[in-house]
Amino acid sequence: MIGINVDNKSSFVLITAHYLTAAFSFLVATILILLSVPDFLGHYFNPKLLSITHLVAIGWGLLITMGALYQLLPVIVNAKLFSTKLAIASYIFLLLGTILLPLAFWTFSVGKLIQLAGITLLIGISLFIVNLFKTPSPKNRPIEYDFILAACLWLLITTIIGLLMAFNFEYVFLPLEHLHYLTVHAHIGILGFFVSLIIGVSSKLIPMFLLSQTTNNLFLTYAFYLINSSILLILIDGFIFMNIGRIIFYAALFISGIIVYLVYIRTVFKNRIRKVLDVPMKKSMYSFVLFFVAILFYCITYFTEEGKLKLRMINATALLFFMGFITMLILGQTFKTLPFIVWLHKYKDSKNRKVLPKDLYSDRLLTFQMFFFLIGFIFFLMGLLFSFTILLYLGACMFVITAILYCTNITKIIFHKTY
Amino acid sequence: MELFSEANKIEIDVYDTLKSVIDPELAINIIDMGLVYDISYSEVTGILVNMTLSSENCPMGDVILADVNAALTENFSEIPNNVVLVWEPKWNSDFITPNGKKSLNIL
Repeated sequence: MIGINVDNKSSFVLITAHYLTAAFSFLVATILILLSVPDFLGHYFNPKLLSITHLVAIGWGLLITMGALYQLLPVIVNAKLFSTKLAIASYIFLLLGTILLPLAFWTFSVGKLIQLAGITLLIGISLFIVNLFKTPSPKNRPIEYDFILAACLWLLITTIIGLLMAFNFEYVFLPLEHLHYLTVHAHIGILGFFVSLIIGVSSKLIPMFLLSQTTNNLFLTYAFYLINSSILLILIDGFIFMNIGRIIFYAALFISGIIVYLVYIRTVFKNRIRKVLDVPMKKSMYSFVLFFVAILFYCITYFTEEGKLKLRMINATALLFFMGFITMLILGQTFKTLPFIVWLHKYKDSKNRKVLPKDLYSDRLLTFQMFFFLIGFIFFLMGLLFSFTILLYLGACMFVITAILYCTNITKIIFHKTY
Repeated sequence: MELFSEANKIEIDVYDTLKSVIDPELAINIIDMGLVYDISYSEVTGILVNMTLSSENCPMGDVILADVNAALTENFSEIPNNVVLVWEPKWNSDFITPNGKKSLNIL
Protein backbone atom coordinates (compact mmCIF):
# COMPACT_ATOMS: atom_id res chain seq x y z
CA MET A 1 0.00 0.00 0.00
CA ILE A 2 1.44 3.33 -1.04
CA GLY A 3 -1.02 5.64 0.71
CA ILE A 4 -0.68 9.37 0.69
CA ASN A 5 2.68 10.84 0.14
CA VAL A 6 2.16 13.78 2.49
CA ASP A 7 4.93 12.86 4.89
CA ASN A 8 7.18 14.35 2.24
CA LYS A 9 7.38 18.09 2.96
CA SER A 10 7.21 19.26 -0.65
CA SER A 11 4.10 17.15 -1.29
CA PHE A 12 2.45 18.57 1.81
CA VAL A 13 3.27 22.15 0.83
CA LEU A 14 2.06 21.48 -2.72
CA ILE A 15 -1.32 20.10 -1.63
CA THR A 16 -1.97 22.72 1.05
CA ALA A 17 -0.93 25.49 -1.39
CA HIS A 18 -3.72 24.31 -3.71
CA TYR A 19 -6.24 24.37 -0.87
CA LEU A 20 -5.11 27.79 0.40
CA THR A 21 -5.15 29.35 -3.08
CA ALA A 22 -8.60 27.90 -3.70
CA ALA A 23 -9.92 29.24 -0.38
CA PHE A 24 -8.52 32.70 -1.14
CA SER A 25 -9.99 32.59 -4.68
CA PHE A 26 -13.37 31.73 -3.17
CA LEU A 27 -13.13 34.69 -0.80
CA VAL A 28 -12.18 37.06 -3.63
CA ALA A 29 -14.95 35.65 -5.84
CA THR A 30 -17.59 36.27 -3.17
CA ILE A 31 -16.36 39.86 -2.73
CA LEU A 32 -16.51 40.34 -6.52
CA ILE A 33 -20.06 38.93 -6.52
CA LEU A 34 -21.00 41.53 -3.90
CA LEU A 35 -19.39 44.29 -6.01
CA SER A 36 -21.19 43.23 -9.18
CA VAL A 37 -24.70 42.44 -7.97
CA PRO A 38 -26.49 44.56 -10.66
CA ASP A 39 -24.59 42.71 -13.43
CA PHE A 40 -26.26 39.43 -12.43
CA LEU A 41 -29.55 40.78 -13.74
CA GLY A 42 -28.10 41.33 -17.24
CA HIS A 43 -26.59 39.18 -19.99
CA TYR A 44 -24.13 36.47 -18.96
CA PHE A 45 -21.63 37.51 -21.66
CA ASN A 46 -20.48 40.33 -19.42
CA PRO A 47 -16.87 41.03 -18.35
CA LYS A 48 -17.60 40.94 -14.63
CA LEU A 49 -19.67 37.76 -14.76
CA LEU A 50 -17.06 36.08 -16.96
CA SER A 51 -14.36 37.16 -14.53
CA ILE A 52 -16.24 35.76 -11.50
CA THR A 53 -17.19 32.54 -13.32
CA HIS A 54 -13.58 31.84 -14.29
CA LEU A 55 -12.30 32.68 -10.82
CA VAL A 56 -14.81 30.26 -9.31
CA ALA A 57 -14.16 27.57 -11.96
CA ILE A 58 -10.36 27.77 -12.02
CA GLY A 59 -9.22 29.37 -8.77
CA TRP A 60 -11.78 27.64 -6.60
CA GLY A 61 -13.06 24.49 -8.32
CA LEU A 62 -10.07 23.42 -10.38
CA LEU A 63 -7.29 24.17 -7.88
CA ILE A 64 -8.97 22.47 -4.96
CA THR A 65 -9.79 19.46 -7.12
CA MET A 66 -6.18 19.22 -8.23
CA GLY A 67 -4.95 19.52 -4.63
CA ALA A 68 -7.32 16.71 -3.62
CA LEU A 69 -6.29 14.60 -6.63
CA TYR A 70 -2.61 14.83 -5.73
CA GLN A 71 -3.62 13.23 -2.45
CA LEU A 72 -6.20 10.76 -3.77
CA LEU A 73 -4.59 9.57 -6.97
CA PRO A 74 -1.73 7.66 -5.28
CA VAL A 75 -4.36 5.97 -3.09
CA ILE A 76 -6.54 5.01 -6.05
CA VAL A 77 -3.71 3.76 -8.29
CA ASN A 78 -1.63 2.41 -5.41
CA ALA A 79 1.51 4.08 -6.77
CA LYS A 80 3.42 7.27 -6.16
CA LEU A 81 2.65 10.37 -8.22
CA PHE A 82 4.99 10.54 -11.22
CA SER A 83 6.62 13.86 -10.26
CA THR A 84 6.13 16.35 -7.44
CA LYS A 85 8.32 18.87 -9.32
CA LEU A 86 6.02 18.71 -12.33
CA ALA A 87 3.06 19.26 -10.00
CA ILE A 88 4.75 22.31 -8.48
CA ALA A 89 5.44 23.73 -11.97
CA SER A 90 1.81 23.08 -12.92
CA TYR A 91 0.63 24.89 -9.76
CA ILE A 92 2.77 27.97 -10.54
CA PHE A 93 1.34 28.27 -14.06
CA LEU A 94 -2.19 27.71 -12.81
CA LEU A 95 -1.72 30.30 -10.08
CA LEU A 96 -0.60 32.83 -12.70
CA GLY A 97 -3.55 31.93 -14.91
CA THR A 98 -5.94 32.21 -11.97
CA ILE A 99 -4.78 35.77 -11.38
CA LEU A 100 -4.47 36.85 -15.03
CA LEU A 101 -7.66 35.45 -16.57
CA PRO A 102 -10.21 36.97 -14.13
CA LEU A 103 -8.18 40.20 -14.24
CA ALA A 104 -8.28 40.23 -18.04
CA PHE A 105 -12.06 39.71 -18.03
CA TRP A 106 -12.70 42.22 -15.22
CA THR A 107 -10.74 44.95 -17.02
CA PHE A 108 -11.95 43.63 -20.39
CA SER A 109 -8.36 43.40 -21.67
CA VAL A 110 -9.17 41.09 -24.55
CA GLY A 111 -5.79 41.48 -26.25
CA LYS A 112 -2.42 40.23 -25.07
CA LEU A 113 -3.38 39.85 -21.38
CA ILE A 114 -6.18 37.34 -21.98
CA GLN A 115 -3.98 35.44 -24.47
CA LEU A 116 -1.17 35.25 -21.92
CA ALA A 117 -3.64 34.08 -19.28
CA GLY A 118 -4.94 31.37 -21.63
CA ILE A 119 -1.43 30.18 -22.49
CA THR A 120 -0.34 29.94 -18.83
CA LEU A 121 -3.48 27.98 -18.01
CA LEU A 122 -2.94 25.62 -20.93
CA ILE A 123 0.66 24.99 -19.83
CA GLY A 124 -0.41 24.40 -16.21
CA ILE A 125 -3.19 22.00 -17.19
CA SER A 126 -0.96 20.17 -19.72
CA LEU A 127 1.72 19.62 -17.07
CA PHE A 128 -0.95 18.29 -14.71
CA ILE A 129 -2.22 15.87 -17.36
CA VAL A 130 1.30 14.66 -18.24
CA ASN A 131 1.84 13.97 -14.53
CA LEU A 132 -1.45 12.10 -14.33
CA PHE A 133 -0.81 9.93 -17.39
CA LYS A 134 2.79 9.21 -16.36
CA THR A 135 1.61 7.95 -12.97
CA PRO A 136 1.20 4.16 -13.28
CA SER A 137 -2.39 3.10 -13.91
CA PRO A 138 -3.91 0.69 -11.39
CA LYS A 139 -4.32 -3.02 -11.96
CA ASN A 140 -7.77 -3.97 -13.33
CA ARG A 141 -8.42 -0.25 -14.03
CA PRO A 142 -11.43 0.65 -11.88
CA ILE A 143 -14.11 2.69 -13.66
CA GLU A 144 -13.56 5.53 -11.15
CA TYR A 145 -10.06 5.92 -12.58
CA ASP A 146 -11.45 6.13 -16.14
CA PHE A 147 -13.82 8.87 -15.01
CA ILE A 148 -10.84 10.86 -13.68
CA LEU A 149 -8.78 10.39 -16.86
CA ALA A 150 -11.72 11.31 -19.10
CA ALA A 151 -12.45 14.38 -16.96
CA CYS A 152 -8.85 15.56 -17.36
CA LEU A 153 -8.98 15.13 -21.14
CA TRP A 154 -12.22 17.18 -21.23
CA LEU A 155 -10.46 19.80 -19.13
CA LEU A 156 -7.70 20.02 -21.72
CA ILE A 157 -10.25 20.39 -24.54
CA THR A 158 -12.17 23.04 -22.56
CA THR A 159 -8.94 24.99 -22.09
CA ILE A 160 -8.01 24.74 -25.78
CA ILE A 161 -11.46 26.03 -26.81
CA GLY A 162 -11.10 28.84 -24.27
CA LEU A 163 -7.66 29.72 -25.64
CA LEU A 164 -9.01 29.78 -29.22
CA MET A 165 -11.69 32.21 -28.07
CA ALA A 166 -9.09 34.35 -26.28
CA PHE A 167 -7.11 34.70 -29.55
CA ASN A 168 -10.28 35.14 -31.55
CA PHE A 169 -11.01 38.38 -29.68
CA GLU A 170 -8.02 39.96 -31.46
CA TYR A 171 -7.51 37.93 -34.63
CA VAL A 172 -11.13 36.89 -35.43
CA PHE A 173 -10.60 33.55 -37.19
CA LEU A 174 -13.46 31.44 -35.80
CA PRO A 175 -16.32 31.16 -38.32
CA LEU A 176 -19.19 31.59 -35.84
CA GLU A 177 -19.96 34.10 -33.11
CA HIS A 178 -18.42 33.81 -29.62
CA LEU A 179 -21.65 32.71 -27.93
CA HIS A 180 -21.63 29.51 -30.01
CA TYR A 181 -18.16 28.54 -28.77
CA LEU A 182 -18.94 29.77 -25.27
CA THR A 183 -21.84 27.28 -25.13
CA VAL A 184 -19.57 24.40 -26.19
CA HIS A 185 -16.76 25.59 -23.85
CA ALA A 186 -19.14 25.85 -20.86
CA HIS A 187 -20.86 22.51 -21.51
CA ILE A 188 -17.61 20.58 -21.86
CA GLY A 189 -16.06 22.35 -18.87
CA ILE A 190 -18.98 21.84 -16.52
CA LEU A 191 -20.28 18.47 -17.68
CA GLY A 192 -17.09 16.96 -19.04
CA PHE A 193 -14.61 18.07 -16.42
CA PHE A 194 -16.39 18.92 -13.19
CA VAL A 195 -19.22 16.40 -13.31
CA SER A 196 -17.07 13.51 -14.60
CA LEU A 197 -14.39 14.20 -12.04
CA ILE A 198 -16.87 14.53 -9.19
CA ILE A 199 -18.48 11.24 -10.19
CA GLY A 200 -15.10 9.51 -10.43
CA VAL A 201 -13.85 10.74 -7.09
CA SER A 202 -17.15 10.55 -5.20
CA SER A 203 -17.87 6.99 -6.29
CA LYS A 204 -14.62 6.04 -4.60
CA LEU A 205 -14.91 8.27 -1.54
CA ILE A 206 -18.59 8.13 -0.61
CA PRO A 207 -18.66 4.33 -0.05
CA MET A 208 -15.41 4.69 1.89
CA PHE A 209 -16.69 7.48 4.15
CA LEU A 210 -20.05 5.82 4.72
CA LEU A 211 -18.53 2.34 5.12
CA SER A 212 -20.80 1.02 2.42
CA GLN A 213 -20.17 -2.44 1.00
CA THR A 214 -21.65 -1.72 -2.43
CA THR A 215 -19.58 -3.42 -5.09
CA ASN A 216 -21.86 -3.32 -8.13
CA ASN A 217 -19.93 -0.99 -10.45
CA LEU A 218 -22.08 -1.77 -13.47
CA PHE A 219 -24.14 1.36 -12.84
CA LEU A 220 -20.95 3.42 -12.93
CA THR A 221 -19.87 1.82 -16.20
CA TYR A 222 -23.21 2.70 -17.83
CA ALA A 223 -22.97 6.23 -16.41
CA PHE A 224 -19.44 6.57 -17.82
CA TYR A 225 -20.45 5.72 -21.39
CA LEU A 226 -23.68 7.74 -21.34
CA ILE A 227 -22.00 10.87 -19.93
CA ASN A 228 -18.89 10.76 -22.10
CA SER A 229 -20.73 9.97 -25.32
CA SER A 230 -23.04 12.95 -24.70
CA ILE A 231 -20.07 15.29 -24.24
CA LEU A 232 -18.32 13.88 -27.30
CA LEU A 233 -21.46 14.53 -29.36
CA ILE A 234 -21.63 18.13 -28.08
CA LEU A 235 -18.01 18.60 -29.18
CA ILE A 236 -18.52 17.03 -32.62
CA ASP A 237 -21.76 18.90 -33.31
CA GLY A 238 -20.36 22.19 -32.00
CA PHE A 239 -17.10 22.10 -33.92
CA ILE A 240 -17.62 19.91 -36.98
CA PHE A 241 -21.27 20.50 -37.82
CA MET A 242 -21.33 23.96 -36.19
CA ASN A 243 -24.69 23.19 -34.66
CA ILE A 244 -25.67 23.51 -31.03
CA GLY A 245 -29.41 23.24 -31.70
CA ARG A 246 -29.41 19.52 -30.89
CA ILE A 247 -27.72 20.06 -27.54
CA ILE A 248 -30.90 19.18 -25.65
CA PHE A 249 -30.73 15.61 -27.04
CA TYR A 250 -27.18 15.24 -25.82
CA ALA A 251 -28.23 16.74 -22.51
CA ALA A 252 -30.92 14.03 -22.29
CA LEU A 253 -28.20 11.40 -22.82
CA PHE A 254 -26.11 13.08 -20.14
CA ILE A 255 -29.04 13.26 -17.71
CA SER A 256 -29.76 9.55 -18.17
CA GLY A 257 -26.10 8.92 -17.23
CA ILE A 258 -26.55 11.07 -14.12
CA ILE A 259 -29.71 9.17 -13.16
CA VAL A 260 -27.81 5.88 -13.42
CA TYR A 261 -25.06 7.38 -11.23
CA LEU A 262 -27.63 8.57 -8.67
CA VAL A 263 -29.10 5.05 -8.57
CA TYR A 264 -25.59 3.84 -7.66
CA ILE A 265 -25.29 6.49 -4.93
CA ARG A 266 -28.70 5.47 -3.60
CA THR A 267 -27.50 1.86 -3.34
CA VAL A 268 -24.37 3.05 -1.53
CA PHE A 269 -26.59 4.94 0.90
CA LYS A 270 -28.91 2.05 1.47
CA ASN A 271 -25.99 -0.26 2.29
CA ARG A 272 -24.07 2.17 4.46
CA ILE A 273 -22.90 1.19 7.91
CA ARG A 274 -22.49 4.74 9.19
CA LYS A 275 -26.07 5.80 9.58
CA VAL A 276 -25.40 9.21 11.15
CA LEU A 277 -23.95 11.71 8.67
CA ASP A 278 -21.45 14.33 9.86
CA VAL A 279 -21.69 17.97 8.70
CA PRO A 280 -19.28 17.57 5.72
CA MET A 281 -21.24 14.57 4.43
CA LYS A 282 -24.57 16.36 4.92
CA LYS A 283 -23.23 19.22 2.80
CA SER A 284 -22.14 16.81 0.11
CA MET A 285 -25.59 15.26 0.02
CA TYR A 286 -27.26 18.70 -0.23
CA SER A 287 -24.94 19.49 -3.14
CA PHE A 288 -26.31 16.50 -5.05
CA VAL A 289 -29.84 17.78 -4.47
CA LEU A 290 -28.75 21.17 -5.87
CA PHE A 291 -27.20 19.40 -8.83
CA PHE A 292 -30.53 17.78 -9.56
CA VAL A 293 -32.24 21.20 -9.28
CA ALA A 294 -29.59 22.65 -11.63
CA ILE A 295 -30.39 19.99 -14.24
CA LEU A 296 -34.10 20.76 -13.86
CA PHE A 297 -33.39 24.48 -14.37
CA TYR A 298 -31.26 23.67 -17.40
CA CYS A 299 -34.17 21.83 -19.05
CA ILE A 300 -36.70 24.56 -18.18
CA THR A 301 -34.31 27.24 -19.49
CA TYR A 302 -33.93 25.44 -22.79
CA PHE A 303 -37.66 25.58 -23.41
CA THR A 304 -38.05 29.18 -22.17
CA GLU A 305 -38.61 31.79 -24.89
CA GLU A 306 -35.75 34.20 -25.67
CA GLY A 307 -35.92 37.28 -23.49
CA LYS A 308 -35.12 38.65 -20.05
CA LEU A 309 -36.59 35.66 -18.25
CA LYS A 310 -34.40 33.26 -20.24
CA LEU A 311 -31.29 35.30 -19.41
CA ARG A 312 -32.16 35.25 -15.72
CA MET A 313 -32.79 31.51 -15.94
CA ILE A 314 -29.38 30.96 -17.60
CA ASN A 315 -27.70 32.94 -14.80
CA ALA A 316 -29.70 31.01 -12.20
CA THR A 317 -28.66 27.68 -13.78
CA ALA A 318 -25.00 28.74 -13.75
CA LEU A 319 -25.41 29.78 -10.11
CA LEU A 320 -26.92 26.40 -9.28
CA PHE A 321 -24.01 24.57 -10.93
CA PHE A 322 -21.12 26.66 -9.65
CA MET A 323 -22.31 27.97 -6.29
CA GLY A 324 -24.93 25.33 -5.59
CA PHE A 325 -23.49 22.02 -6.70
CA ILE A 326 -19.74 22.54 -6.97
CA THR A 327 -19.24 25.04 -4.12
CA MET A 328 -21.51 23.17 -1.71
CA LEU A 329 -19.66 19.94 -2.47
CA ILE A 330 -16.26 21.56 -1.95
CA LEU A 331 -17.41 23.26 1.26
CA GLY A 332 -18.25 19.80 2.60
CA GLN A 333 -15.58 17.56 1.09
CA THR A 334 -12.74 19.90 2.09
CA PHE A 335 -13.36 18.73 5.65
CA LYS A 336 -13.27 15.08 4.63
CA THR A 337 -9.90 15.41 2.89
CA LEU A 338 -7.77 18.31 4.19
CA PRO A 339 -7.84 17.33 7.91
CA PHE A 340 -6.55 13.86 6.96
CA ILE A 341 -3.77 15.28 4.81
CA VAL A 342 -2.62 17.60 7.59
CA TRP A 343 -3.09 14.98 10.29
CA LEU A 344 -1.05 12.42 8.35
CA HIS A 345 1.71 14.95 7.82
CA LYS A 346 1.84 16.06 11.44
CA TYR A 347 0.92 12.94 13.39
CA LYS A 348 1.83 9.97 11.21
CA ASP A 349 5.07 9.32 13.07
CA SER A 350 4.04 10.88 16.33
CA LYS A 351 3.48 8.76 19.40
CA ASN A 352 1.31 11.45 20.91
CA ARG A 353 -1.98 10.99 19.08
CA LYS A 354 -4.32 12.89 21.35
CA VAL A 355 -5.98 14.56 18.38
CA LEU A 356 -7.78 12.91 15.49
CA PRO A 357 -8.35 14.42 12.02
CA LYS A 358 -11.83 15.61 12.99
CA ASP A 359 -10.33 17.60 15.89
CA LEU A 360 -8.32 19.82 13.53
CA TYR A 361 -11.29 21.97 12.48
CA SER A 362 -14.10 23.69 14.28
CA ASP A 363 -17.37 21.83 13.84
CA ARG A 364 -19.20 24.94 15.10
CA LEU A 365 -17.66 27.14 12.39
CA LEU A 366 -18.59 24.50 9.85
CA THR A 367 -22.23 24.49 11.00
CA PHE A 368 -22.38 28.31 10.82
CA GLN A 369 -20.72 28.16 7.42
CA MET A 370 -23.39 25.75 6.16
CA PHE A 371 -26.17 27.92 7.61
CA PHE A 372 -24.91 31.17 6.02
CA PHE A 373 -24.24 29.50 2.71
CA LEU A 374 -27.65 27.84 2.44
CA ILE A 375 -29.56 31.01 3.40
CA GLY A 376 -27.31 33.13 1.16
CA PHE A 377 -27.79 30.76 -1.72
CA ILE A 378 -31.59 30.77 -1.41
CA PHE A 379 -31.60 34.61 -1.18
CA PHE A 380 -29.35 34.97 -4.21
CA LEU A 381 -31.30 32.48 -6.28
CA MET A 382 -34.61 34.15 -5.42
CA GLY A 383 -33.07 37.58 -6.10
CA LEU A 384 -31.97 36.36 -9.54
CA LEU A 385 -35.28 34.77 -10.46
CA PHE A 386 -37.44 37.67 -9.31
CA SER A 387 -34.97 40.51 -10.13
CA PHE A 388 -34.96 41.56 -6.49
CA THR A 389 -31.71 43.47 -5.89
CA ILE A 390 -31.94 43.59 -2.08
CA LEU A 391 -32.12 39.79 -1.93
CA LEU A 392 -29.09 39.60 -4.22
CA TYR A 393 -27.12 41.90 -1.90
CA LEU A 394 -28.20 39.95 1.18
CA GLY A 395 -27.24 36.68 -0.51
CA ALA A 396 -23.88 38.08 -1.64
CA CYS A 397 -23.12 39.31 1.92
CA MET A 398 -23.82 35.82 3.24
CA PHE A 399 -21.53 34.34 0.60
CA VAL A 400 -18.74 36.63 1.87
CA ILE A 401 -19.41 35.53 5.47
CA THR A 402 -19.37 31.89 4.33
CA ALA A 403 -16.00 32.43 2.62
CA ILE A 404 -14.54 34.11 5.72
CA LEU A 405 -15.70 31.23 7.95
CA TYR A 406 -14.36 28.70 5.44
CA CYS A 407 -10.96 30.43 5.20
CA THR A 408 -10.75 30.63 9.02
CA ASN A 409 -11.37 26.90 9.33
CA ILE A 410 -8.93 26.05 6.52
CA THR A 411 -6.21 28.18 8.11
CA LYS A 412 -6.90 26.51 11.47
CA ILE A 413 -6.36 23.08 9.88
CA ILE A 414 -3.27 23.87 7.79
CA PHE A 415 -1.45 25.80 10.49
CA HIS A 416 -2.40 23.39 13.27
CA LYS A 417 0.36 23.05 15.86
CA THR A 418 1.11 19.57 17.15
CA TYR A 419 0.82 19.05 20.90
CA MET B 1 -10.05 -13.98 22.20
CA GLU B 2 -12.50 -16.37 23.73
CA LEU B 3 -10.21 -18.76 25.56
CA PHE B 4 -8.47 -17.25 28.53
CA SER B 5 -5.72 -19.46 29.91
CA GLU B 6 -2.04 -19.41 30.64
CA ALA B 7 -1.52 -21.29 27.39
CA ASN B 8 -2.66 -18.41 25.26
CA LYS B 9 -1.65 -15.55 27.54
CA ILE B 10 0.49 -13.91 24.84
CA GLU B 11 -2.39 -13.95 22.35
CA ILE B 12 -4.67 -12.37 24.96
CA ASP B 13 -2.06 -9.70 25.71
CA VAL B 14 -1.67 -9.00 21.98
CA TYR B 15 -5.45 -8.76 21.69
CA ASP B 16 -5.55 -6.22 24.53
CA THR B 17 -2.61 -4.31 23.07
CA LEU B 18 -4.32 -4.01 19.70
CA LYS B 19 -7.30 -2.43 21.43
CA SER B 20 -5.09 0.63 21.81
CA VAL B 21 -4.75 1.01 18.02
CA ILE B 22 -7.38 3.46 16.83
CA ASP B 23 -8.74 3.95 13.30
CA PRO B 24 -8.17 7.72 13.02
CA GLU B 25 -11.12 8.25 10.69
CA LEU B 26 -13.70 6.42 12.74
CA ALA B 27 -12.15 6.96 16.17
CA ILE B 28 -12.71 3.36 17.28
CA ASN B 29 -10.15 0.65 17.95
CA ILE B 30 -9.33 -1.97 15.32
CA ILE B 31 -10.51 -4.88 17.50
CA ASP B 32 -14.00 -3.41 17.90
CA MET B 33 -13.95 -2.57 14.21
CA GLY B 34 -13.41 -6.28 13.51
CA LEU B 35 -10.26 -5.70 11.47
CA VAL B 36 -8.16 -8.30 13.32
CA TYR B 37 -8.97 -11.79 12.01
CA ASP B 38 -6.46 -13.94 13.83
CA ILE B 39 -3.74 -13.73 16.46
CA SER B 40 -1.34 -16.61 17.02
CA TYR B 41 1.88 -17.16 18.87
CA SER B 42 4.53 -19.83 18.88
CA GLU B 43 8.06 -19.78 20.23
CA VAL B 44 9.37 -20.55 16.76
CA THR B 45 7.48 -17.97 14.65
CA GLY B 46 6.70 -15.35 17.27
CA ILE B 47 3.52 -13.30 17.08
CA LEU B 48 1.47 -13.54 13.90
CA VAL B 49 -1.44 -11.14 13.32
CA ASN B 50 -3.76 -11.55 10.34
CA MET B 51 -5.76 -8.42 9.78
CA THR B 52 -7.64 -6.50 7.13
CA LEU B 53 -8.82 -2.94 6.40
CA SER B 54 -12.35 -1.68 5.82
CA SER B 55 -11.42 -0.92 2.20
CA GLU B 56 -8.47 -1.77 -0.03
CA ASN B 57 -7.90 1.91 -0.75
CA CYS B 58 -8.26 2.99 2.87
CA PRO B 59 -6.15 6.20 3.06
CA MET B 60 -5.42 5.47 6.71
CA GLY B 61 -4.20 1.93 5.97
CA ASP B 62 -0.52 2.76 6.27
CA VAL B 63 -1.05 4.55 9.57
CA ILE B 64 -3.08 1.71 11.05
CA LEU B 65 -0.49 -0.90 10.03
CA ALA B 66 2.35 1.24 11.33
CA ASP B 67 0.50 1.66 14.64
CA VAL B 68 -0.08 -2.08 14.93
CA ASN B 69 3.63 -2.73 14.37
CA ALA B 70 4.62 0.00 16.81
CA ALA B 71 2.24 -1.30 19.50
CA LEU B 72 3.55 -4.86 19.12
CA THR B 73 7.20 -3.82 19.12
CA GLU B 74 6.70 -1.61 22.17
CA ASN B 75 4.83 -4.19 24.23
CA PHE B 76 6.54 -7.37 23.06
CA SER B 77 10.06 -6.18 22.32
CA GLU B 78 11.54 -9.63 23.00
CA ILE B 79 9.27 -11.47 20.59
CA PRO B 80 9.44 -11.19 16.78
CA ASN B 81 6.15 -10.19 15.19
CA ASN B 82 4.63 -10.43 11.76
CA VAL B 83 1.54 -8.50 10.68
CA VAL B 84 -0.11 -9.87 7.53
CA LEU B 85 -2.69 -7.88 5.62
CA VAL B 86 -5.37 -10.18 4.19
CA TRP B 87 -8.42 -9.45 2.01
CA GLU B 88 -10.28 -12.72 2.50
CA PRO B 89 -12.83 -12.83 3.95
CA LYS B 90 -13.80 -9.35 2.83
CA TRP B 91 -14.50 -7.13 5.80
CA ASN B 92 -18.14 -6.28 6.42
CA SER B 93 -20.26 -4.77 9.17
CA ASP B 94 -20.98 -8.19 10.73
CA PHE B 95 -17.39 -8.19 11.97
CA ILE B 96 -17.91 -5.10 14.13
CA THR B 97 -18.28 -5.96 17.82
CA PRO B 98 -21.34 -4.76 19.81
CA ASN B 99 -19.06 -2.14 21.43
CA GLY B 100 -17.93 -0.96 18.00
CA LYS B 101 -21.51 -0.77 16.76
CA LYS B 102 -22.40 1.31 19.79
CA SER B 103 -19.51 3.71 19.05
CA LEU B 104 -20.60 4.01 15.42
CA ASN B 105 -24.27 4.54 16.35
CA ILE B 106 -25.37 1.57 14.30
CA LEU B 107 -27.09 -0.49 16.99
